[in-house]
Amino acid sequence: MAKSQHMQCDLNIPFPKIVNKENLDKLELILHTLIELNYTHVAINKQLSPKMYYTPSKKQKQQMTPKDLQNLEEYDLKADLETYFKQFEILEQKFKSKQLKLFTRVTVEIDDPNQLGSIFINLNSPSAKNRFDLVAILPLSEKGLAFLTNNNGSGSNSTSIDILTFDYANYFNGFHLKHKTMNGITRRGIKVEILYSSIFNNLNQSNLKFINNSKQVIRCCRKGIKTCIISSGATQNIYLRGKIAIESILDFLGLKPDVYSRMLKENPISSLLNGRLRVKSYQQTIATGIDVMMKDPEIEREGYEVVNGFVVKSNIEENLEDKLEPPTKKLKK
Amino acid sequence: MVRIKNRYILFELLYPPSDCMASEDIIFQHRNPNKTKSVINPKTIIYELRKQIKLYLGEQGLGKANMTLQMKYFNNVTSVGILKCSAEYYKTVVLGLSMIQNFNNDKEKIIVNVVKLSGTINKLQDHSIKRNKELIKRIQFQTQTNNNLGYYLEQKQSEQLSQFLSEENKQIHVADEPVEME
Repeated sequence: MAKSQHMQCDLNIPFPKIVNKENLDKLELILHTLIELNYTHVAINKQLSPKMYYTPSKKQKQQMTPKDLQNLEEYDLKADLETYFKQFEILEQKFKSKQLKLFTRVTVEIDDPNQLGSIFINLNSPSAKNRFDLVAILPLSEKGLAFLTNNNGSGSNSTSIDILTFDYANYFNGFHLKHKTMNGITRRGIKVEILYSSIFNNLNQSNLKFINNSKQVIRCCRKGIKTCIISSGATQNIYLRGKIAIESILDFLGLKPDVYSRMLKENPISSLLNGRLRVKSYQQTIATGIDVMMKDPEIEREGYEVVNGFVVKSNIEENLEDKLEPPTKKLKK
Repeated sequence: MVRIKNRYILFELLYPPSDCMASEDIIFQHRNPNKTKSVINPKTIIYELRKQIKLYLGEQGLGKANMTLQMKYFNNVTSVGILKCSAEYYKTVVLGLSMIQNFNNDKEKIIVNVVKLSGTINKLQDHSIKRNKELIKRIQFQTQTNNNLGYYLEQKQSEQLSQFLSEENKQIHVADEPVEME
C-alpha cells in the first residue's frame, strides 16, 4: 500500500462581516493556530444574508421604512465581494511559505427562493472575474430547503452546489428534516456539513442545541457515511481542536470509527475536488496543477502522476514503446 | 488472572494568543515558555479533567474513566504531558481532555491538543522527541535571514530556544504516587 501524505481539511472559517483591522487580525490568529494543530487545507467563508442580494420591487419599496431604504442604497454587493477577494489574496501571500493552502467559499442564506434572482448566476458564471471554489447553501426555512429538491427550480440544475449547512447554535425553526428530502439532495453529490465549534459555547445552551441538531442531521443522512463532512465554523481561535479531539466528540454523538474517519478525510476532499474542478477545468475532464491532492512519491516512481486527484501517466514516450511490440497471442478467426 | 491493559495519552497545552502580535514569534506565543504558570500543574489538570467528564458523561462515566487514571509526566516549559488510563475507557478521557477550556475558572483560555495514543509509554517518548526536533527545525528556519517569510528575529528568542533544548535533554521523571482528587 502506498503511504498517503497527511491531509486535514477545515472548510469553514468565517470571514468577518465588518472588515477592519481588529477582525482581520483575529482571522489571521485563527489560521496560525490551525497550523499548530496540523491542518493543511482551509476554506475561508463569505456569508451572504438575504438582505445583501435581494433587490425589492417598487411596491415593496413603498412599504419599507426610510431606514431600511437607506441601508439598501448604501450597501453594494460587488464592492463587498471585491474587498473579500483582495483580503484573500493578501492572506494567500502571507501563508504561501507555510503548509496551509487556502480556498474561497461562499454560503448563501435562503429564506424565500423567489428572492434569489440571479445571484447564483452572478457568483458562478465562467465570465465572472472572481469565482468561488466552493458554493454552499444555508436554508433558514422549509422553503429554502425545498429549493434544493425542486427540479423545476431556477437554480437547482443550472448551478452546481457543493455543500448544505445549517445553523447549529439555534434550533431549526419550523422545519423537520426527512429521509426523502435529504436522500434526494445527497444523491446529487451535495455534502451535508456539521459545525462543531458551538459545543464549546455555553451561552444560550448552544452546546445542547448542537447535540440535538447534529443527531437529527446524522439520522436523516443514513449515519452520514458518504454524505457528511465536519468543519469548525470557529469565530475565535479558542474553539479549534485537533483531529483526535474531534473524533472523540463524534464518538460521543454515537458514531462508529469507520464513519467518522470518512467524515474527516475523504468526504471533504471529494467536495473540494468537485468545486475546484468546476473552476479550473473544461467540463470537469481536463485540468492541470496539484491543488487538491498531495504528491505521492511511490506512485511517481512507477511512472504515474497524481493530477487533481486522478492518477495520470507521466512518461508517455516510454509507454508508447511497450504498446508497439507485436502481440504474442494470435487472434482466432 | 489477566493483566490490566493500559493506554497512554500524549498531549500538549496550547495558549492561543488573544491579542494580535507580530507573526514572527507565533510558535512561542502558543507555548509560552517564559510565562509563570503557577495555576497549571498535574493536580489541577486532573481535577479539571474529572470535572469535564462528570459534566458530559455523568458519574457512571467518571467512575469508569477513573479506574487507573494517573498523570505520568508533565513539563510546564514545553507544556507536554503523558496520561495513563485504562484501555477500555480511554475515549472518555480523551473527550474530557478535549472539552477543557480553562483551569480554575481562569480568564485565559487554553486548548488541550491530544497528539498521540499508544499502548506503551516508550513509543510515546520516542514520538515526543521526534516531534520536538521538528519544532526546533521550524524555529531555526524562522530565524534565518533569507527565508521566504522575509523577516529577522532578535536575540531574545534564541534564549527561549536554548531553554527548549535544555528541557529536551532531561530524562522523564515518573511520579510514583497517583494524584488524588481534592
